Amino acid sequence: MTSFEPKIIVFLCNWCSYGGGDLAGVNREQYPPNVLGIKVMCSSRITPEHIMESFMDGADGVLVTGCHPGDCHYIDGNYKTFRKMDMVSRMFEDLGINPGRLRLEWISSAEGNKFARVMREMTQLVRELGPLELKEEV
Amino acid sequence: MSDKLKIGFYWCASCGGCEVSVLDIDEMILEVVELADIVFWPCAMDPKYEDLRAMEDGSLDVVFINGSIRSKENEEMAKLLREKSKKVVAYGSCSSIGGLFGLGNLYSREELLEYGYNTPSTDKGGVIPVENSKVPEGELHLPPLQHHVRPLDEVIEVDIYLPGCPPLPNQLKEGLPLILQGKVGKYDLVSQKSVCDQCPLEREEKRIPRLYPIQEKMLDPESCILDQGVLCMGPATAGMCEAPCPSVGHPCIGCNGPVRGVKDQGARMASALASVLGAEGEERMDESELKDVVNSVRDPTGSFYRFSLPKSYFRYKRRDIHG
Repeated sequence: MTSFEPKIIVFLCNWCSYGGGDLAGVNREQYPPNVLGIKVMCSSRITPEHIMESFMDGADGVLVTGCHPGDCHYIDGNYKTFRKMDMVSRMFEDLGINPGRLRLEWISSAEGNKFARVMREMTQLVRELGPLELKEEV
Repeated sequence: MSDKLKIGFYWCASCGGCEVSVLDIDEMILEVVELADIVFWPCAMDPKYEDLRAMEDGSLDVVFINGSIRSKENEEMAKLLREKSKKVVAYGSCSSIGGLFGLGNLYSREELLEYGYNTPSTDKGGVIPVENSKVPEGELHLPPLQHHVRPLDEVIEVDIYLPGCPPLPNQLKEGLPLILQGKVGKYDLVSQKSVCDQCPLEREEKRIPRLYPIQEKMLDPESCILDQGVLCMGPATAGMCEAPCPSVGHPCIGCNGPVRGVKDQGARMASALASVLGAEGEERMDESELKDVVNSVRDPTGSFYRFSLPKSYFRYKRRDIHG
């Protein structure tokens, strides 16, 4: 077995998913320590540049989380995120990056167990995919 | 000896359009020649590489290099010109941001050679060129292709960027004298404003229900092309060109690359498009309907990165997907 521990960046929306993460903690839900959370005001704040930069800086996976459709604090931010993520994952496929490394998930602040489950699933999946090697070729 | 500047032009992996564009400035070429002597220009004159090698280091004042770095010869010549010249200008989009040829980075070098020389559309069973080959007349040497297309600044240091495919006369008329007088900084000739900013078409602040291929739309020549549902790269493209394409009803294809200070044109375009795309009443749509809307953006990689792939974050196709 390998000892590969994936590094996963999780972008958490302030109004729902961060609350979900809080609840997971309060409920003593177990999830791996491979995820590194970054709080943003809205999932639509995350641009494709943030995601690409994360990968270039050594992340093996990026998870973007937001409010469920219709629940966005800013009315339609999560719809924008949805469209953005769809385009980015298609771009990743063309650029030879496994789209499994990028995931969009809706987590409300009442879903502490979903939060923990998604973190476990994502860590498991990225662990199976292995490290993202962006070896430079000339 | 005259005290005129000594300038040179060189092409790397280029279509030749940039070389021709130098002459687009019409009679102003006379002013350029008044300021400077063109001592090295393989497209127009017949200098030998040996002549260049024999020159003293730093003996040229400005060299304009167009074309991206595709073969070993391109790289060697770029490095040689860097030694010989005080200033290097990345002329045109290929040398500034990788250019159209950069889309070749979506395939490996081997795939490209196979496609170019050995498919039914070319000559089935054709000969793939190799570095050294023996022919009855002797031995032939070809510069080998490198794995990827690279912009000029990945090989040498660039002093001034002048993107454009090719740079247009208005850019040159303004920029050339400034370059020759040494009055511009590295990114001064890359616009901070987008093509949309200069576009004469009427933009309404409205949502775009979905995109259509251009052949399926009768475009109204007065109003914004993106508003009408045809992909236009205007929002993410630097606008030194004064929007000639949208002005005549053709969507912007993004040839100037990203605006100053932006690293990744494709990422910016995805952001821009994500916030204007989407029908009214999307909150009543289910996921597949939402997906249908965003799927109307066809080939985001090819369209958003048409000119700037080698200067994006990932730059070329990685090998992360197996089997």
